[in-house]
Amino acid sequence: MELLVALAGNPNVGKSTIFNILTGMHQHVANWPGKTVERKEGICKFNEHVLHVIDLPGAYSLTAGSVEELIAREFIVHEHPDIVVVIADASGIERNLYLLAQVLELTDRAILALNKMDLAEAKGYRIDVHRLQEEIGVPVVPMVARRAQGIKELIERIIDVASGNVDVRPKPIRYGGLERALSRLEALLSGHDLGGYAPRWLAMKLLEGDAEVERLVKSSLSADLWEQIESLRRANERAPMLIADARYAWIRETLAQSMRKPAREAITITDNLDHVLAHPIIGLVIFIIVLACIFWLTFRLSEPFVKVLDEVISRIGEWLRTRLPFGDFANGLLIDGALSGFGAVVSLIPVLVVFFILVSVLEDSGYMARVAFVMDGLMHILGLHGKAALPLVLAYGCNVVGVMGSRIIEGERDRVLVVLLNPLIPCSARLGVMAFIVAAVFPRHLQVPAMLGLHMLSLSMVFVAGMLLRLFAIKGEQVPLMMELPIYSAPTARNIALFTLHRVVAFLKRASVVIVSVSVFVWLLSHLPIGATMRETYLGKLGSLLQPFGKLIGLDWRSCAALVAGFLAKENSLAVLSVLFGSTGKGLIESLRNAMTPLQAFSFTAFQMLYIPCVATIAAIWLETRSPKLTALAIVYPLAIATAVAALIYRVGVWLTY
Amino acid sequence: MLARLSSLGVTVGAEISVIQNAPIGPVLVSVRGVRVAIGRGMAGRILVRVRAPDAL
Repeated sequence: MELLVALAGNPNVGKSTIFNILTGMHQHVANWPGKTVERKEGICKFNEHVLHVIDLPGAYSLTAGSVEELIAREFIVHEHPDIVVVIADASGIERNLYLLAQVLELTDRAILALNKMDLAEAKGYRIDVHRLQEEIGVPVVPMVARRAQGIKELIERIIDVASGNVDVRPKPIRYGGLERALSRLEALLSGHDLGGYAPRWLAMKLLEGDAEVERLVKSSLSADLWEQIESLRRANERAPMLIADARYAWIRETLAQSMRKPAREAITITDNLDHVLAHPIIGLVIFIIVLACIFWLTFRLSEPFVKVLDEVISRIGEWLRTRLPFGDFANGLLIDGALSGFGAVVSLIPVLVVFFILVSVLEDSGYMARVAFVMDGLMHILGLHGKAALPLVLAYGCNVVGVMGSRIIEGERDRVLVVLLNPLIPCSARLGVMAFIVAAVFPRHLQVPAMLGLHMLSLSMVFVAGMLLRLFAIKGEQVPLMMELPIYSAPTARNIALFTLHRVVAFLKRASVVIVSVSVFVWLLSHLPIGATMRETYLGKLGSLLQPFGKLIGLDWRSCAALVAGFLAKENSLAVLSVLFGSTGKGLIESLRNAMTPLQAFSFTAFQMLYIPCVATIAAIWLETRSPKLTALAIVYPLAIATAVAALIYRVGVWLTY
Repeated sequence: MLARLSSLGVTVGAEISVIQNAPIGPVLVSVRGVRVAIGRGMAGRILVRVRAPDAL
């Protein structure tokens, strides 16, 4: 039997753990079309059965409150999964069944997987699974997914229900006083083509005030009919609350006979840990320490591996150069163009591996939710989600990490905002170029103020851009923080490994083609026509072409050419500078000092710090957003800011010195 | 917003207790057996009635 199985559940109920055990290495991770939300599907073989498992995004409900919720409900309605497994955290069973209630409003073919039974017991909950199953009317499977308990039973129940061996008759939810309004709405809606949704369900969503359903119904019915619906809705203004009450009443009845709670809940490890980790001050201090550790580990732990990989790639290059029979030009194209581009991709692997391992440990343990909690107050000033602190700080190490780290943030709007702000944060490569030029051109006593000034500049630009993006580019209000703080639990190796593997592989697949092609392209620019001096190459000509623009910010064609090359990787601009300036046997430092005034150097570094992100970052932005528009925006707006800032610096500087 | 609060277990008549309420930042509450963080502005708009001590 081939079955389509959807896993639904609140965030942090162990959905990924169950998905990972079911599908193992047979997974495919992508994005939901047009969304920044991850779509995970996989295959689970059991005897002669094949289960196609879809991991729906974590959702607390099926209203149109967030992208995640919308995706989950549209999948259930339009893809008609054979079974929807609702995974619930047994230690918070009352609240977790709220999602089950909503799933049962859409489909009968559901199974309740009651995960974290061990934690429920530790809390003193006594759950009579058989009784619960009788009460709800759908199969209930107790599980401890972290220890792989209950997996086989879950698969067997899925097959039982799908093959009709078990009677599934969910206990209906009674909406009491709303029934009249519901059936009148239902009568108005039935007989119309309304996107495959059941009229009763639409009626309920209309009463609940679901914006998405409202749009659908309004656009498919006559104005007259819509007016009748509206007046019914006006007469039932309290409906959203009554519906929620009805669902919780259903839960209470269900649990009344099947669960016993202790009079006083036991104090758990989570309570004790939160006294410290969620403490408004201590928690903040701990997070700053954790953040520093992550930063340090991500870039230091990976460093030796990066060095070895760099070395291996350059050795292979040298070896090839002496062996390949193609002549200087083709060799250069292959080795300095293609291979070194590939090397740039490869040397990011250790950094990403370490980072994703650390992030998945934080996610899996439940600590990440505390980060959102303790940072909320501070990040709110920036109009951002508490968790945004992590990717934004990591961006100082590498923008690729910062962009890919934005995945931890809930809410599409905040996620996109963090992705777009990343390019303004100077990564270590840019800091290297900045430090080099400042050290070369500025007199000693001005070096530290210059670097500080550049940092302040980038920080203020992050603020300004954040404000402008929220005003003009990113729609939607900031959603106030409302989230569950899950119970702490030890992370599992399987989750960490699979999470890291999929993220790194996705990056390699996407980024390698882009980066290698741009690397080849830039190499060609700087080496064609064959035998030309640098000034006559296309790169040189492009630099000259940009001269009028360069004049605006006080730079000559050589600096412009260096900036063009810096698009590939920021450190490249130094390499081009050294070719263009470092003539007649002098080192780059000395040549730069003679060629640039401190004012020009400041304008150059400021521009270099803010303009177009490197090609790897652009690939990462594309990977995360899957939106040509947003990716283009991430290229264009930093360029605009960089131009404005550098021009201002140069013009004001010139005006001040005359 | 109401739908979101409901889906997190905060409904009319639900028993709710404050675990942590610092001068700034979100409020941490316990409701229906789970811990929920609610932004300050929103938390301020939730009206509660203190339960009579004999019922505790």
